[in-house]
Amino acid sequence: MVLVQKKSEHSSSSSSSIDGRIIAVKDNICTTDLPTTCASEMLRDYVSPYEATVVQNLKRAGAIIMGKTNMDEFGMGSHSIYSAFGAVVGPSPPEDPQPRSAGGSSGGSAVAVAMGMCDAALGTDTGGSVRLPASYCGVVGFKPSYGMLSRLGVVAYANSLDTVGILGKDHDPRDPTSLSPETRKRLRENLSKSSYNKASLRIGIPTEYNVTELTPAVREAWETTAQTLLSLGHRITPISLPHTPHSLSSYYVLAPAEASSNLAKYDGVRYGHRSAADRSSPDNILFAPTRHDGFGAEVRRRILMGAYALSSEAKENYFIQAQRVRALVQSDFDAAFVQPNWLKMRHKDKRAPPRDGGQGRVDVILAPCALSAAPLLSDVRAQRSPLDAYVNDVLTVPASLAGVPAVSVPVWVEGGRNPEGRPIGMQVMTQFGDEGVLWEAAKILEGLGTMKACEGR
Amino acid sequence: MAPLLTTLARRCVTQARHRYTGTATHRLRLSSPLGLSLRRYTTAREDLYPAGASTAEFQLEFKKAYKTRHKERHQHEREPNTATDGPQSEWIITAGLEIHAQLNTGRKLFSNARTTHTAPPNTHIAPLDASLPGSLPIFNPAVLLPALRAAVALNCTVPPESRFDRKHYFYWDQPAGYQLTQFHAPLATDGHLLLFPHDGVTHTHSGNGNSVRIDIQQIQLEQDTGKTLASPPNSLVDLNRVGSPLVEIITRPFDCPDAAFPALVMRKIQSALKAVDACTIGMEWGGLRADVNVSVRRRSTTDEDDWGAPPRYGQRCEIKNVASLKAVQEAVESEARRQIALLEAGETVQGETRGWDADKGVTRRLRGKEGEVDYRFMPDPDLPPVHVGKALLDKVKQTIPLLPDQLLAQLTGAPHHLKEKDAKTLMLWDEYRASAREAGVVYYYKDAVRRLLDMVVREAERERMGLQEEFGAVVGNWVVHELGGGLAKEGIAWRENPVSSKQLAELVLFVVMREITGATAKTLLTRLITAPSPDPNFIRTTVAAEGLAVVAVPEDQILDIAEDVMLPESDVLEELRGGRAIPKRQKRLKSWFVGRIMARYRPSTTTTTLNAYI
Repeated sequence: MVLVQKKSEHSSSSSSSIDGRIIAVKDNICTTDLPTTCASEMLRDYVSPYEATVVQNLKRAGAIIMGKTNMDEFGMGSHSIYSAFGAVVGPSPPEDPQPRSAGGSSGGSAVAVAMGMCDAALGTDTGGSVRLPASYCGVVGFKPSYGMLSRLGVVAYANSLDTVGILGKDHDPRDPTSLSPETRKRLRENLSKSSYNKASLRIGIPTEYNVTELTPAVREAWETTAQTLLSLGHRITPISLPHTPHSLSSYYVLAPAEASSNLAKYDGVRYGHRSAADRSSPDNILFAPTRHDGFGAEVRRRILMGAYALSSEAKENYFIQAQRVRALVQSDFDAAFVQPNWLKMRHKDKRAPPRDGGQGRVDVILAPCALSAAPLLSDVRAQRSPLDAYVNDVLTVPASLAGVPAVSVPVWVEGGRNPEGRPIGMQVMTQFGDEGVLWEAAKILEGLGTMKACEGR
Repeated sequence: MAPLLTTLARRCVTQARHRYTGTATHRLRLSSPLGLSLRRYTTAREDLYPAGASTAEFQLEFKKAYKTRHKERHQHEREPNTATDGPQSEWIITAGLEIHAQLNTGRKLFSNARTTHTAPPNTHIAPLDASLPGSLPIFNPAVLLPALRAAVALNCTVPPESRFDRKHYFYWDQPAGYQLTQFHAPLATDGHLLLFPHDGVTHTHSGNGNSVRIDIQQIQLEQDTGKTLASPPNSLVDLNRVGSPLVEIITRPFDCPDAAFPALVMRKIQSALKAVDACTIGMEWGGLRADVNVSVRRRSTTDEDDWGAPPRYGQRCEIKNVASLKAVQEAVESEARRQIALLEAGETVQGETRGWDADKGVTRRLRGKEGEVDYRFMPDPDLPPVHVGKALLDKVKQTIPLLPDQLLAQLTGAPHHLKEKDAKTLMLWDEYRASAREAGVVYYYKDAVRRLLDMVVREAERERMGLQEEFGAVVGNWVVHELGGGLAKEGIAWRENPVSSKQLAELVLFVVMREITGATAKTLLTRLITAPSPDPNFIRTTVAAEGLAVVAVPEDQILDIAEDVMLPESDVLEELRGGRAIPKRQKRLKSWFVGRIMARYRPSTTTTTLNAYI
């Protein structure tokens, strides 16, 4: 079902590139004219009294909000099957009768774009929720630097990781995590001195991303892409991001911890679902029936994990430890890039100009986005443990922990280990705030066309 | 549901109006039982100090002050407990206070909604206050000023950076499921305050020196919760208060000279917060609440011997949410008795959280150790740290109003020389906030004294003046007795006082210069109150125009009149002259003559010469 809304009358900038474009919005982003359910029973009928800043900005620029897209409940999932409204089914060619995973949690948004229902869609990316579905559905998925886009009106999953997947320029004074105008200026000024050459980018291949779980088709696509780029005159450098193996566990401590806190507000008192059992029996533990009925199994699981990680007995070993890992992951990235992390620099820090690439530092990092192409939904459902799905995020969470921007771009490889010719998502990551070189690299990847598989090493 | 809420709200509004404007009914209730507590003013010089002010009405202006005094009396009325009171008692009570006070700001801590106590329920709520999905907190920097004034008033260290943490627990008056507070990095740390004898600390309290020191562990910013209005079988929730800014002030444990002591500490903190305009709402609105930790231990010689070693405190219990000074005093008293009884019976005190049942006068177990809430503290991932620069802190230090102790010292010292009691009366009149507002009584008083001294310096070139140290006290008397009494008699509120400080200063100047009599001065003041004059030199002008000045009567003329009056009364004269009468009788006889002579002459005649003559 497609909802189309008339073009807003007070759209000011008719020259905007978004003017007249049709945009879909993930259902955890607040809209006043459509419900905002987060795909949860808890908020099945909830309509927000105010609009998210990103939606306001889109409308102001002349965009047409087409409707809201299905997702994993509260953004928790990797296949968009944990929804109170039923699972999202990924796009597949007519000759393929088997339904495939759309990826999660922004699966609905990715499918809407892949099927041509809209020009673009808003998603949210906490640990890969835009990039993974983009990878599975063969579309471009962008996670900006943390704080680049306003989170006001975006229903929080994990505040310190949440980002909205689309590009924006402006500070939102109503979002405390939105980068300030001063910070934006500092980033812009420093990064404009960037020394990259777009005809010959310094591209890093992180060895730690070559995990054993990587399917041969993905590994092949990664190698082929790197080889092709090399042949086009770019410089390919193997690099190390040593703390990558720990990022997944760090993420699955931190994100549920923040989620357990964020979701404490859903108690059925002021809005949303309220269980009848919560009213009748005075012996009931108040709120427990409401929260049990209103949340799906995956959300409950993450709330319990998060509450445990923050409990006084476990906090030091889990929450605090995970924060330390997060800091190490960030420093991995800082050590890899030519550009320093200007966010961490003091305002008047007279740091030396960007270091050259001779020390093995790079402009961008290239890695796959997912372990495999889109899996069959039947295979996903057959997984023994719900935790198996968490592994899918292993390649996307490091950028989330570090807050750096990343874009997933589909590549096509033929004649190799991917006989079905399914798109494979390649991920480009750059230094914090360095979206400029990120887009240069993404454009180069888009221009590669269908590549011939190179010989495996 | 709705009508009940409205009724409750309306009742609250009405109460507020009564409280702050003082309606007639209110006055009637207060006038009789509290009239007794007004002090009697001792007067040093009859002609300088107008006596016999009508104090009954005057007091009405002070109803707040009386309430405080009343509480104070109550504190001293408590039955002494020999087991815990004084340095010889067998048991030592240790207490610790966690005081929650509402900061004086117009908007909430993290949202744009107004702070209010009187608005109809659920009318001042931003999306964040109701924890709507997608809402985000934005720190309100206006909260910093009153909070920093509190920190400076309590002599705290303010680190350059503080942070907010989430404290999780489920309760329907806590919409987010957590409270934003400062657990790991609070706004201010390591402060202290001193209690003096004038704070109600008896001499048994202050074993060494003149004051008792209470250490403050930290001051943190946090959000208030909503209010639950009971309406069985439902609980109604009013979210207006959600997110209002609080400071929590945590003291370090302190030994109590007696069970009334923690309430004195609480009152002292309260008056400091009020004085610096950090917190203006009293306990009656739930503006100040405390959690009180109490433990007891046997006094032993080791306490005195182990220099420097921290005392081995007994097992403590926490009494939650005690909402008045009286309740703090009674709860500590009752809890200490309970713990002592347990220990004396050979049992042990369990560490637990207890509540105060004011009706039964006992503390009651709420939950034990096993039932303790795990708050799962987590740094808030949305809010950046709060930075307090040196410039801001310096500015607060420079502009902070005087604390009650400082103001008291100022009023009792040069050049004011007020008696402690009179100074406190002025301060109470201002609710301890005199120096914060130019419209205050203390400000007016100080201004009048300053003007008087200026005038005296100028006048002194013509006249010899030797009584300067008393001028402050004289002005104090005129402000408190004559002006205060006169305003009360006319039903005029202080803020509508028509007598300027310049006019009052000139009036007092004329009195101390003996240019007019006390009686004339009183009449002039009454005229100024009932028929205000914009003329700053009203006194000088009127005295000149109406010839009210004391006439310097030639001595022989006085003698003539005196002889006329006195000679016919030879019996009386004989009694006076012969010195047979006792001094008191002699004085009365003298006065009798003076009165007779005065009756013959003009009322503006000074009596001093006559007294001397006789």
